[in-house]
Order: sequence, then C-alpha cells, then structure tokens
Amino acid sequence: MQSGNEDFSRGDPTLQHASQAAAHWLATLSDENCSDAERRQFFEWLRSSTRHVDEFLSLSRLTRSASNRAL
Amino acid sequence: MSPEGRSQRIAEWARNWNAGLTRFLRRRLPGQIDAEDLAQEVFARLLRIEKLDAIEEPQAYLYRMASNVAAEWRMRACYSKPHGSQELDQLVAATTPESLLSEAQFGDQLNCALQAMRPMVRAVIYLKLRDGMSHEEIAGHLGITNRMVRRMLTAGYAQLRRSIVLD
Repeated sequence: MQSGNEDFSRGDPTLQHASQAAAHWLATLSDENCSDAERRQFFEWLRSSTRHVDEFLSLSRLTRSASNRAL
Repeated sequence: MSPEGRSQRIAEWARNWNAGLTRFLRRRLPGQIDAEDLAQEVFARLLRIEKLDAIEEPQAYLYRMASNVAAEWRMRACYSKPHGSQELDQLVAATTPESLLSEAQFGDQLNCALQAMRPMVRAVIYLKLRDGMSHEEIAGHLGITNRMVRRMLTAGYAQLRRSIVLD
C-alpha cells in the first residue's frame, strides 16, 4: 500500500495552495448559508487557473467516493 | 447488451469518472488523456460562459460539465474505434482483481486519513460525508458555530486530499 500522496510529499507549493483553496471552496459551497458573493468569488477563483479546476474536480470526486463508502 | 443499456452504463461510468474509463479513453484517443486534460476542457468551457454568477449550485454544475466532457470523449472514442464494445462491456461488468485492489487501497488510505484527523475534524467529516447533514445540523449536533463547521470541513477535506492517492 502506498503511504501517502506523492504529489504532496514532493512539496509542490502551487498544488498545496490550490488544494487548500479547493477544500475551502468545497466547504463553503456545501454550506446552505453560502452567499451569492461567495459563489461569485468561487467562480473568480475557478476561472483564474486550470489548476484550480483540476483540484476542485479531484477533491469533489474524492469526497464523493468517500461519501459512497460506508465510513 | 442493447445500445441503450450500454450507453446508460457508459454514462454511469462517465459520471463516476473512474480509472477504468480513463484508461479506456486513454487507449482510444491520440495522446495522453487524464483528469488534467479533462480539467483543461472544462476550464475552456467555463471561460466561454457569460453569466456564471447566475448558477445556483456551482459544484453540481461543474461536475455535470465534467461528466459531459467525459461523455463526449467517449462518443468520439466509439466513432474512432467501433469494435471496442466487447472490451467496454467487460470493463463495466467486471469487478477485476485490479479494481478490487484499488478499492481496498482507497479504503485503507481513507481510514488512515480519518484516524489522523483531530477528533472534531473527524466528527464533522463523518456527519457531512456519512450522514449527509447540513452545516446547521452539524453545528447543532456538535455545539459549535457554522463558521467552525466550515473550518473543520476545510481542514478535513484538505487532509483527505493530502492522504489519498488519486488515479
């Protein structure tokens, strides 16, 4: 079994930053009290880099997979 | 399998966007196809949309867009190599040793990540992902503020992403 995520263990700061931001936005968007302004900010962030799109989709897929399993 | 049945199953796979479909696409399209390529395509489409602000559920919207791109690639793949259906049927029907292993690995990594979380972060992740609670419900259940729920969820998601190897 692999003991972690190689991309992260290599310490790519751009990836780590994008990943942290993706986590923040996923948590924000899942809040039923998420405001219109926050949604606008999310799209601004998303449109600013393909890396952001990639990270957000990866995290969405990961949390969906986790959610589908009996935790 | 009927054409309708097959396309439904393919669509299901595209929605789940799993490694098997990616591998299938990779073999049928020129060049390397991976999640990053898909993200590039989604990004290009996002840039063409004028009124993004009006979208009510951004995550669902984005995921649908990604699914559509994957499905379009699948269509192109079918046209470029029409005799691949038998292999695809095997792919969608079988739980191969490889996919079982990958599933087991995912489970192991998920458990490790959960165990490494602070108890409050783990609790929020459980209530969100396992029980599907709203933020207000989680806040009420754990006696914390909505703001704390967001922070704990952010920390938990980031930890899951760091700990789990994606295809």
